[in-house]
Amino acid sequence: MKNSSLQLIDETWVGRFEAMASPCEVLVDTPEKNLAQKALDLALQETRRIEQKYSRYRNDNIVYQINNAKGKVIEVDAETAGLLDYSQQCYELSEGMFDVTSGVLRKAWKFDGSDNIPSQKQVSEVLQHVGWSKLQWRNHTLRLNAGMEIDFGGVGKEYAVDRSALLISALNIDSVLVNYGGDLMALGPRASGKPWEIGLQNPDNSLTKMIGKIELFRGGVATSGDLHRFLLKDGVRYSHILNPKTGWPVEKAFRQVTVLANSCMEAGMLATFALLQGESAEEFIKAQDVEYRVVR
Amino acid sequence: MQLKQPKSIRRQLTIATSSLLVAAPLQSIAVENSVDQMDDITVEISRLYYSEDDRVTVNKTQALITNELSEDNRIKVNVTYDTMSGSSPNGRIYTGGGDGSGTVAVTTASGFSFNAANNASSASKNTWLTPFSDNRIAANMEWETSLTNFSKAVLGGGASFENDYESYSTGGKLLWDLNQRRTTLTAGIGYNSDTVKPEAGVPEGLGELWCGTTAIDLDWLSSCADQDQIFYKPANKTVVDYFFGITQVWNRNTLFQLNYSQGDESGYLTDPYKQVSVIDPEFGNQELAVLYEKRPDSRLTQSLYFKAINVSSENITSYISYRYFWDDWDIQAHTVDAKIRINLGTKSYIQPHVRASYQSAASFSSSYISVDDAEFVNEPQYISADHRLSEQGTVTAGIKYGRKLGKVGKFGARVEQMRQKYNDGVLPDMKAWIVNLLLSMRF
Amino acid sequence: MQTKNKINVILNFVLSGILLVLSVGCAYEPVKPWHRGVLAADSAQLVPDALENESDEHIYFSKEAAKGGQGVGGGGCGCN
Repeated sequence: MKNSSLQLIDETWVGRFEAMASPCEVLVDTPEKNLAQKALDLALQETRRIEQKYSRYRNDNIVYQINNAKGKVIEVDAETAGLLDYSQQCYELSEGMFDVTSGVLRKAWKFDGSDNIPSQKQVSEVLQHVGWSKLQWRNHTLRLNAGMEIDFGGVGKEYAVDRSALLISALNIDSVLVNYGGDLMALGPRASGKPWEIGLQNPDNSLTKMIGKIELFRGGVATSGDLHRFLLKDGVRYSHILNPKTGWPVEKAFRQVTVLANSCMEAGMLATFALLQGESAEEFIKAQDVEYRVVR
Repeated sequence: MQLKQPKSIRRQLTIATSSLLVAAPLQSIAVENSVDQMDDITVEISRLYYSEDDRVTVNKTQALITNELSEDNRIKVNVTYDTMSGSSPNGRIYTGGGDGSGTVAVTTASGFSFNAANNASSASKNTWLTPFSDNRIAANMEWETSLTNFSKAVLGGGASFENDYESYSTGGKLLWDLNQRRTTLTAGIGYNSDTVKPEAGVPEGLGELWCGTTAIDLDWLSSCADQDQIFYKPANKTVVDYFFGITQVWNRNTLFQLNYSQGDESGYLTDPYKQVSVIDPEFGNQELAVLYEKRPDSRLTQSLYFKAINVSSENITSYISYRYFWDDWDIQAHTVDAKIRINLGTKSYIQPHVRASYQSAASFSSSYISVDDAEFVNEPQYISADHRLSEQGTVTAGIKYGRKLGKVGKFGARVEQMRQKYNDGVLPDMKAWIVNLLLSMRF
Repeated sequence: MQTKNKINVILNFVLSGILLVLSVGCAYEPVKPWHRGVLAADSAQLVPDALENESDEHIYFSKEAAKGGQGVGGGGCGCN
């Protein structure tokens, strides 16, 4: 089994590997294979490191310790502290709509396209364990109540994209596009000066065509949407974008929001914030002065 | 009355011609209308172009030389050269996207707090397709000889060679004419010995082609990580088939045929290039791992084939056939084929054609392995996501134009379109064009 | 599966249709050998064009699970 592959496709080096349950790619426009290989190796190493450290599926990392502390205080390293600080800022900026403790809501909601919506009782039970304000985060120490969890899933991939791009930039090549499962960051345009052409996924049927294209010269691109994860009952579509304050799906959520920003994390957060605004998603994103696309 | 006289002459004439006609056996693949030409050589050439939208293209050139050594002996030599290329579905989950519109990446939604689930496409090839390119050369020979006035035997053998596949075949059949040649009984047997030899070797069935780093919620697959793949040397496949048939002249315009066939396959019956994706619905269609498929090492196939030919007028001949096929992999298939040949004058004809088939899925056919499906709690014994073993329907429609060239030649050209639909709700429909040029010359 | 049932129904119709036409349209007539005139023509043979038939057999053998029916052999390629 190969961990990664590097191929020359139409004059661009395409490095591929699998991580974070996604196909990951690093595209480099350079005639030098060695350089492309170095970029790929850096990206692969860094992504695996982040995955190992922040995946909620492992039992040997800081996330596991945090989520199984049962009320005890945990001291975290500088990188994790940075992520927690970032989570707090996002929590405040979004007025509580973005909350990394809302991961436990998956225990009540299973978005498999069926009509199994949970009862209010079930939701309320799980909701007790949701709420950034319920935890204590200061001075590199974190204390969660028993039953609470931190889930970096909402930022993990974008973080890995930006970190990979950062490490690759040290190689002094600009025509690089990092693409981890649809979350992207370009250090600069293609060698020809032309932008990277990015397709927009059709939120209706992920299996077929795209609905548009965007041109990316430099910066991050991310999309938030409901793809095939939703519930349908009595003609009402329940998006998987849950409001962490109520435990119920955000009402009248847009199907999909795509944002271009300076970094992948920024783009991702803005797209997520937009979706959380329900029917005022477009209004919100317009006010942020970034390039965007929406699907209602 | 004058009518009586012509009648009696005619009677004598028909009696005289009957012995002439009776000399030629009822069933033949290319009947010569004039019996006085011995040691005839017929050369037939066919060029076939088969092309699927965005997928496989095949170019096939065939030459068939038939030498009538005598009234009772005929030899046929058939040579084929195929070139095949393109991409073919490999059984992995369809990921769509990545169309040729010049995009190098697709941005797609990632989960908020449920950690990913998306189908990002990549710069070029889709993972559900495997590109390939191959050439095949095959030859076979057949010798047909009369045993008695009412029976004959056919013996043949052949070989076929591709980069990754070799096949040797031999077979024979006996034909008996009964009932004043109104009925013909046929019995045949065939033997094929094939060697499957992919370049990288034959993989272990259900072995891991690739594993992602996300933990997989299946006990039997949880150790799927840095395992070495296991590849074996070439593998063998043997097929023995039998068939029994009856051909019956029903009336002067109609002919029927009914065949029963049985095939016994054993050995390596798996496709070494086909895989199955392991997915977790929580992550949408994201692959968590990819395993090689595995099929049983034996297969018993049976079929009943019925054909009717009706010459309804001087210019119209219809051909209709139905085949019911079934095997011990639980597959059942129905195929209907209808053609009408309409003569345009004495030299040319057109022939519209329609064919439709439907098959049910093999017992071990599955579009993917889902961690949520009770069926996969334990390691499956056999599994294949190959669409050719799944529920699918195919419809083909086309038209042929044929023309005589002088007294000894024939030309034909046909164009058809074939469409295939799959019932898994995932694989996109397939559409293909078939163009076939045929030329025949008698020397 | 609805599609399967529909197809079975259609096939039944087609088969009954064929049998009906054949039984009504063309009665069994003891055929004297010398009457086989029209059936002796090239175009009335079971396989009027061997190469055309072989091309089709190869195509469908490569794209479907079912095979054969008209005789023995065939296959012998790595396409199924």
